[in-house]
Amino acid sequence: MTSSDATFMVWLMLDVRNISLPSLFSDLSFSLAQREMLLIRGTNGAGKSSLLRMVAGLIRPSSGTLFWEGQKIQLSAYQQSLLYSGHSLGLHPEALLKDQVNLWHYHYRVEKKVIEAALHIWGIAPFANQKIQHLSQGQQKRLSLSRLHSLARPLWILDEPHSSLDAEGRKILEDTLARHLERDGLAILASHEKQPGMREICL
Amino acid sequence: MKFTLAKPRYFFKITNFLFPLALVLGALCFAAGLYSALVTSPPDYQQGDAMRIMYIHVPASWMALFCYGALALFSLFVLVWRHPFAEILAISVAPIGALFTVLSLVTGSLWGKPMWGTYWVWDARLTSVLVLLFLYGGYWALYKAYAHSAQGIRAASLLALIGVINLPIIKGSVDWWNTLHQPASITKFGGPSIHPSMLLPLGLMTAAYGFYFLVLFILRARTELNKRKLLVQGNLS
Amino acid sequence: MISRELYNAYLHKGSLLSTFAFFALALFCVSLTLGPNETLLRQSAPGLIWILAILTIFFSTPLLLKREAQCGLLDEILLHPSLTSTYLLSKVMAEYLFIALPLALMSFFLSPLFALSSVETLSLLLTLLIGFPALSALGILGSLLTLNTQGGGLLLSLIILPLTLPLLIFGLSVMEMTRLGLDSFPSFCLLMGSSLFLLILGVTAGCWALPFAAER
Repeated sequence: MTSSDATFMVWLMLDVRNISLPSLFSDLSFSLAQREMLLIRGTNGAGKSSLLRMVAGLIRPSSGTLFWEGQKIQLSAYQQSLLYSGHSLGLHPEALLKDQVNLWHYHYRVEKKVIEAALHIWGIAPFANQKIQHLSQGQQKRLSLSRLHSLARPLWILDEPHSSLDAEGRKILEDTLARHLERDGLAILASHEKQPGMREICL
Repeated sequence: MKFTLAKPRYFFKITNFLFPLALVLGALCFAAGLYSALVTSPPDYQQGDAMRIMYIHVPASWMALFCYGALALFSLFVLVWRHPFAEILAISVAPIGALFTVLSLVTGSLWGKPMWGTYWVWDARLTSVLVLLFLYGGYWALYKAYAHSAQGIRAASLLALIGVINLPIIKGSVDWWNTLHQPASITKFGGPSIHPSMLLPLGLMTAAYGFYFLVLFILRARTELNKRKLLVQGNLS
Repeated sequence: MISRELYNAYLHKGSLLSTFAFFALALFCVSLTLGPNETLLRQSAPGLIWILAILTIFFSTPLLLKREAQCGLLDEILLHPSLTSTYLLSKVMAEYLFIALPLALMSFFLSPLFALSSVETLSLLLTLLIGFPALSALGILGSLLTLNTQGGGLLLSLIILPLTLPLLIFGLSVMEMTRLGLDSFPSFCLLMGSSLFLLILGVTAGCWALPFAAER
C-alpha cells in the first residue's frame, strides 16, 4: 500500500442508525460511504442544524447510535476526523484576520503556510490586516470555509455552506467539494434549496 | 418509549392508594402531635413555654434537609441516566423543600427573639440554612430561566448536585464552627439528652411533617405528570 | 491551549478595560458614600472590595463566554481532542492574568481611599490573589449554566453567590484578624483550602456543563 496525503486508505463509512430528537424527527437512519455526498434538505426549523450537530457529536441523540468505520463512535477520535462548519462561523470578531490565522495555528496545530495557502484559494489573503468584524458576511464565510483546505479531515459536515456566498464563492465551494470527493472524502450538507445531482434526505 | 410510559402509570397506581392514607395519617399525627406538644408535654426548665416552638421548628429543618437530599438524588438520576420521571420528581420536591426551609428559618428566628434577644445572628448554622434556601431559589430560578424545560432541568440539576456540599456543613456547623464564629449556636440537644416526654410529641410532629410532605409531593408530581401528558397531546399551549 | 486562551483574552482588551473602569468607579462611589469617617472606612473596606470584585467578575465573565458561544467557538473547543478541563483551566488562568491580577492591583492602589494601613493593604491583596482562581472558575461555571438563558449576570450571581460564601467568610476573617493585630494564619489556611476546593469543584462541574451549554 502506498500512502499519500490525497487519499484515506481505510474504508471509511458513516452509519447513522435510528437517531431521534424529540418533536423534530424520530428513527432517522442513513449511511454515507466514501466519495459520497448527502444533502439534508428541509424548511426552516425542520431540524437540519440539530441533525448536523448530532452527527458531529455536539448533541447526544435521545436515542440511536452513530457508527464510524463500522464501529460505534469513540467521540474524541471520531471528532478528529470530521470538520464541522456551523451556522456561527467560529471566528473571533475582534481579531485581525492574521490573528485568526495564529489562533488556528495554535488550535489545530496546522502550519501557518498551509492556512495562508487556503486563504489564497478563497481570495481573502489580501485582507490579512483587517478586523474580522469589518469584513463582509461573504468574506467571513469564505474565511470560515477556508478551513476545508487547511485541515485534512475526511468527513465534512457543512451547515448551509452556500449561504451568503457570491457566485464566485459558490464556484470555489463546488470545486472544493468535487476535489474532496475525488480524494475519497465524505460530505454532509444542509440546505433549504435543492442542489442539482445530489442525494438528499428531506426533513 | 414504553419504559417512560409504564413508569408514570405505575406511579399513579401506587399513589391512588397512598395519597388518602398519607392524608388521613398526616391529619391524625398533626392533631395528636400538636395536642401533646402544646398541652401535655412539660415546659423546659430553662426556656419555659417558648421552647414549644421547637416541635414545629426542628421537624421543619429535618424535612428541609431531607428534601434537599431527595432533590440531589433525583438530580443525579436526571444527569446520569436522563430519566424523564426523575425530572418530574425533582421539580416536585424542590419547592416543598424551599417551603420547609422558610418555615424552619421563620420559626427559628421567632424562637431566637426570646432566647437570644434577636431575630437573627450570623451564626454558622443559620447562615448555612440560609444558603440552603438560596440554593433552592437558585435551582428554581435556573430551571425557570430556560425556554426549554428539558435544558433547564439539566443545568439546575448540576447546581443541585454542587449544593450537596452544603448539607454536611449544615450538619456539622453546630459542632465545628463555634471557634470561628459567634458562640451562640443552637445547642438544643446539647447537655443532657432530651427527655422522653418531649421526644413523643417531637416524633409525632416529625411523622406529621413526613406525611404532609408525602401529600404535597404526590399532588405536585401528579399535577406535573398530567400537565406533560396534556402537553404531549397538544391540548395545552 | 493556554497560549490560545491568552491570545483570546488579549483580543478582548476593549471589554476588559470597561471591566476595570467599572470596578474603579464602583470603588470610588462606595468610598464617597461612606463619608470621611476613617474607622468606618477601614472596617467596611475589605467586605466592600471583596463584594465588588466578585460582582465585577460575575458580570464580565458571562459576557465574554456568551460572545464566544455566539461565534461558534465553544463548538470548536468541544470538537478539539484535548480535555475540556484543560480548556477550563487555561481559561481560568487567562482570566486570572488578565482580569484578576489587574483588579487586585487596582484595589491595592486604591486602598488609600479606604484609609487602610500598609499591612492591611497587603493582606487584602493576598486574600484577593488567593481567592480569585476559585472566583473565576465559579464565574465560568455559572456562565456556562446560564449561557442559554436571558438572565446573564443577574441570574449568575443569584445561583453562584451562595457558593462563594466560604471565600468571603475566610477572606474577611483574615482581614479582620490583621486589623485587630491577631494571628491570621488559621483563617489564611482555610481561605487557601476553600479556594482550592472551589476551583476544583468549579472546573469539574464546568466539564459537565460545557456540553450542555453547547446544545442549543
